[in-house]
This record gives sequence, C-alpha cells and structure tokens, in this order.
Amino acid sequence: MILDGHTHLFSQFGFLRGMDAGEFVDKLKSQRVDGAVVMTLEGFTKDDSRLYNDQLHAATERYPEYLCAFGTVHPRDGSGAISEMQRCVKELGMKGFKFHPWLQAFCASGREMFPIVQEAVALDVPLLFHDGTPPYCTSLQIAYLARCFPEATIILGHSGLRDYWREALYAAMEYENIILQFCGTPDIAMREMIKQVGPERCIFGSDFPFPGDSCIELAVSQIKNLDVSDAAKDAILGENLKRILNL
Amino acid sequence: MSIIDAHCYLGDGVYMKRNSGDLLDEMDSHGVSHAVVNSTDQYSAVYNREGNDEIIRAVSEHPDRLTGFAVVNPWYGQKGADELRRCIESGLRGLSLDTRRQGCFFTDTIVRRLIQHAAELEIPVYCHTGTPIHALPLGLMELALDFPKVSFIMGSGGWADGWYDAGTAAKTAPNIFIETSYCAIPLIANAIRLIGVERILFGSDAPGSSLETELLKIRLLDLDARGREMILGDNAARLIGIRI
Repeated sequence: MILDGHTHLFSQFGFLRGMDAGEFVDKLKSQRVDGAVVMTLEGFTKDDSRLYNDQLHAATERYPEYLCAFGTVHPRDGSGAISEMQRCVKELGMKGFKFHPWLQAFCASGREMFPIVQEAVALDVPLLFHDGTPPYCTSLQIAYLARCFPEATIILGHSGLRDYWREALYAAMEYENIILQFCGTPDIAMREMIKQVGPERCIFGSDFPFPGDSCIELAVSQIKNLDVSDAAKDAILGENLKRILNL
Repeated sequence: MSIIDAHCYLGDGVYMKRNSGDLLDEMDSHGVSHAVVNSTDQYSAVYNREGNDEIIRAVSEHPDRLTGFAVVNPWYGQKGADELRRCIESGLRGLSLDTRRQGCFFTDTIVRRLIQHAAELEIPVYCHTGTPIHALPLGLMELALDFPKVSFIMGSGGWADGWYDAGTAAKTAPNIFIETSYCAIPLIANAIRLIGVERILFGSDAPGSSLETELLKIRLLDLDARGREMILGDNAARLIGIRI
C-alpha cells in the first residue's frame, strides 16, 4: 500500500502547470498510489484561503475514497484563521493543515502560530510544514512549536531537505511529537533517520506534481532502495500515515 | 554510452563516508565509467591537505576511473593557493569550493584571489550552491562574470530554494555549468530551456544522494537521446578533459 502524504492540487504556479482533480487522480493511480493527502499551492500566496480550501474540498468530494485534504489558513488572520480551521475540519472533513511559512510570509516559530497549534490540538489534527529552508522554515523553527505544544503532532514536510536534515534528525530525536516526512529528503538523511529515530515516525510524500508528473516512481524507488526491512518500508510508504490520520 | 558522475565524494568524512572500493562497486553496478571526486566535511573546512592527499592517492590508483578536484579553504590565503598548485601538479584537475562549510562569500577578496590561481592553472572550479547565506547562485554569477575564462560548475543547481536564481545566473554568465544532484526534474528541464543542454552536467553528490536516485531522474527527463548523452557524460568529458 502506498499512501502519498504530500501532494499539491493547483492550476498554475510560476512555470509549473498543474492539473484538475480528474487528471491528478488518474496520474497518481497510474503510478500505483493507493491514496493521497492533497494540499493547495496557489492558496499559500493568495489572501483568501477559503477559496482554495473549497477547491480541495471539491476534489475530496469527487474522490472521497482516494483523497483527503490538508487545508491552510494564514496565521496572521487571527480569529478568522481559527474559524476557518474549524470549518475545514468540522464541515469539510479535512484531516490536517499545511503551512508553507516562507511562501505565506510568516515565521514558523512566531507567536501568531501559537493559537493555530492550540486549535489543531483541540481539533485533533496534525500540522504539516514545509521545512528545510531559511529564514522562516528551518527544521528547528518548526521543532520549537513541537517543544511548546507536546500534544500537537508536527510533521516536518521535507525532513530538512538537503541543508537542514541534521537539524531535522536532531529535532525528531529531541521531540517525540515530530513526524519526519521523506519528501525531497536526501538518501543519506533517510538512512540516518530510520536508524536513529526508527521507521515508526517516518512517512512518505512525493510533492506531486512539483518534482514532475513522474516523480512518484522516483520517490518510491528512494524508499524501496533503502537497506531496511520490508516491514519498515511498508510502514513508511503507507501504514504510518494511515495510523496518524486515523484513516 | 559512457556515464560520468561529475561530482561525488570520497573519504572518511565525519558525516560523508565512502572508500574507493565502495565507490568503484557503485559505479560498476550503475554503468558509470568515470567519477569526479573530492573530499568533504572536515577536509574541505580545515584539513585540506590530508583530504587532497587521499584523493591524489585514489586517482593515481584508478586513473581511468577517477578524476580528482582539490579542496582549498579560501581563508588559508597564500597557503591555500600553494596547496592548490601542489594538487594540480600531483594530478588533480580542478578546484572544489564549499563556501557553506568554509564560511565566505563567492564575491569575497579571499575567494577572488584563489580563483585567480585557478585561472592561471586553467582548471574548472566546482562550487556547492543552494545553501544560504554563503552559497547562492547570484554570488557565483558575479564571480563568474569577473573571471570569464574560468569554467564554474554550479553544484546542485542552487537546490533547494536557490533554484529560482540558478537558471538566471547560468544564462547571464556563459561560463557557468549546472550540475544536477538533488534538483527536481522540472527544475533541470527549466535550466535546459534557459541555457540549453550543453552546460548541464550529471552529478550524484553521493553519498549524500545516490547514483540510483540521480540516474533515475535523468532517465525520467523528457529529452532526446543525444541530449541525454551530453548531460550524462559528453559535457563533463569536454569540460574537465576526461577521455571516455
């Protein structure tokens, strides 16, 4: 079973062409993905996150057995962000929230995130962050939230990428409520993380279609090539995410 | 077709560890005929000579499989320049800078002085890029514009968030080549669209990434057979002077 915990549904972003939900699901299925967490991309840079949350909801309504959504809000919107989080989970059935601090122009460790994390705890959903790039999304900036809110589930969406993976590893060792997502993560980092943190807190994501329409093959092969047991690979490729999201 | 890995590491680094036996086995199992190697970690930061000596030994043992680049920390000034000349006289073929570990800007005087020696030695210069604050593509662009006769290899094409500037830098400075390790497939395609295939080099950055992952990426690129050959080997052979 392959559950892709990190995909983006969008129409156009810079020179990247997105696709509609139908093509999106067809392409994932053709690469043997059994289900996916879908998130916005355009919504990170536009004021009205409601509009993009509604778009994600339309996609999950169309493919309820296949897609679940992580919405987004702008932390600076204050109480508006909180009520939108409640709408996303209670009315739209979303399973978590995604933040991209540098695209959304806030600092992951900033005070405006505190009520957001508290609300996520109240709603019992995880928060997934882009991480691995300064100045707003270093792995330890996000880990600071995990430190302040031990009851929150915080997913490092790229496990530090190339430049911050040692910080991400450190963060996961230090804070048990951190989940490491292998998504654009270097091979050396995945090996060390599985060895030191254990496969239970590692989940798979592809970033589809940002790294190309055929990126699933590449991302899955990175996991399959790891020198770990088949059980550990299965856990990382799907079972852990299923457990974390209560799917 | 001959595949050249234009950038990977060899040696007993604190984090990056690989001996030449493992390196050659990995090359064999992936059909890679030649690899360009240098030291990293403590060797690129401080113990340049010890790192370079290991590379000199490896390339002299396997001259048909390995080409070596020297690591020199620009902060060593004249001592560093002397080390670079010693390495080139001992058979290494280029300079590899890792300003992320060495702690200087591409535009700093200490870097420019070292590049002046690389220019006199007529060797290519590999530069790690993509890591703020010291290793970003536009810094490399300014350096490359000031040394138009030196060929610069932009390591990892500015990955991750430096990719926005990677194509711009290479388009502005025609002496910049882009090395593909870690770069997502659409970013490599974007670079090809901006500067053509002639200045794109396949590299693995192994053991950071791996030959397996990086070769699969090039296979998945939408590219004609000739373009793929150029990226996988011909461009590096021409630039670095590797006979394949």
